[in-house]
Amino acid sequence: MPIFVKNMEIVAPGELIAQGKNYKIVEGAYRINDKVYSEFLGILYIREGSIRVVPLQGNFYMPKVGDTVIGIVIDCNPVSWTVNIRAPYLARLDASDFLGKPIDPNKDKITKYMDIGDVVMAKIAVADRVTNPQLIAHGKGLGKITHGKIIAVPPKKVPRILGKDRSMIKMIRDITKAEIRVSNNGYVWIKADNKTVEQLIILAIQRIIREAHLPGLTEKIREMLSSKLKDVES
Amino acid sequence: MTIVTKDNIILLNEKGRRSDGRKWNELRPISMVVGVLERADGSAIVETGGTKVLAAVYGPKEMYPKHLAMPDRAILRVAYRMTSFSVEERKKPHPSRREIELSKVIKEALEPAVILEEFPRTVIDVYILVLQADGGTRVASINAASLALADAGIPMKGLVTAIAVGRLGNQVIVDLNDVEDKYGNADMPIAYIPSTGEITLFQMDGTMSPDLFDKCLEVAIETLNKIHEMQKEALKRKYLKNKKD
Repeated sequence: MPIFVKNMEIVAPGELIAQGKNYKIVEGAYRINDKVYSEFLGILYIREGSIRVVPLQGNFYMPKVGDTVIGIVIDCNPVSWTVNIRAPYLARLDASDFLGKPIDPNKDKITKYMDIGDVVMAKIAVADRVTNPQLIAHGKGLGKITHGKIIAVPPKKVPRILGKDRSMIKMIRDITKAEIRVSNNGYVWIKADNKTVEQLIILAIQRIIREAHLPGLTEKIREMLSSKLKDVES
Repeated sequence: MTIVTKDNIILLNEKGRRSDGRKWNELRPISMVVGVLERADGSAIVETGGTKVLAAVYGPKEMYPKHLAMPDRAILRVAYRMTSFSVEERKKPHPSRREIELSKVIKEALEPAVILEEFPRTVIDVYILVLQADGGTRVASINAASLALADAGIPMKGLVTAIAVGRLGNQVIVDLNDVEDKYGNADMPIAYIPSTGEITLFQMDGTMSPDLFDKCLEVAIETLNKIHEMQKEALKRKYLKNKKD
């Protein structure tokens, strides 16, 4: 049962990773007979017989139930909003799933709450292959975003920005004392004390995107943030 | 054996060298660069001798017009175009019959490699632009498009690799240039997915004996495996360069 590629190495689509029936494919690979091939240009992770290929590229997001997303309202109708969530499908947010109560379109105007161009943080409530995804924006940490800064990152780099067990994002939050939320569709919401710290966080995130495939990134980002913050304070 | 065209171009000399001095199984210099366009989701430029092809991939995205969307998979939409300055005599810029046909042929060569079932009701756009043509534009286009698809992060069963083989008299030749394409006795473009062993494009212009045909196919597969290694290297180079920095 040989493995042909080392752990944490870059693999191309169709590259033979392993041979043998005991390997479990978590994501990013497929099997023909007993051979396991990569589906993506990505980094290979082999842990205890399970194979995972994390793609290095991809500017699209595929909706999954339970994901937190940041979306931009692009259309309104009397009882719902149409939201762009950077997916190949437009999402629908019903007024009752935003307000927590039904709306009477004869008495109340939906645009009073949210209009075209507004930004909303929501959860994917329904996502299947047949219909467009449905959002829910009623609950803790969800709803209209009225302040802070949002930057777009490739959705495929979100796991790297979060880090293993969210270690990366926790570290950035602790050092900068800023509020940061990363949505699964590749938007990062930042609220920092001042513009310099905000810029510093953006720089750190851009570096994570650029060097996502390199090991030991959390430490590098920690060093970068600590030294630059000292400069700012002094 | 020397083979000369009506215009006195020596296609094959007595030493077995071709019009540009190559041996029968020698490839033209190949250069492949991935991620050349900032705005595209994936892109690649492939140069094979005098042939230069640029490919860009956008998507998966919402399909318009909606009635063309497939409920169970994505649609691959390929547009192959030649620039007006790509050939010796100015090419009219409107899409010609040949370009529309090649778009279809290239689409069908790429489709078996892309896992389209993961993106129902969507479209993946592939734009191929021939910047300079010197024979083998369709195979260079397939090589470039498959690199661009991989660069866009689209799941694939494998990279699609393509090459043209042919014959001059009884001599099998690999990677035909423009002159060999026009005056040679046969021309056979082949696209292949090395990981699954599928042949996704197979065309032939001219005539060939069964023995010569078998040899051509054997040589083509051998060459395709070499080009496949180059493609993998080109994809990884983008990131390995970054790693060294």
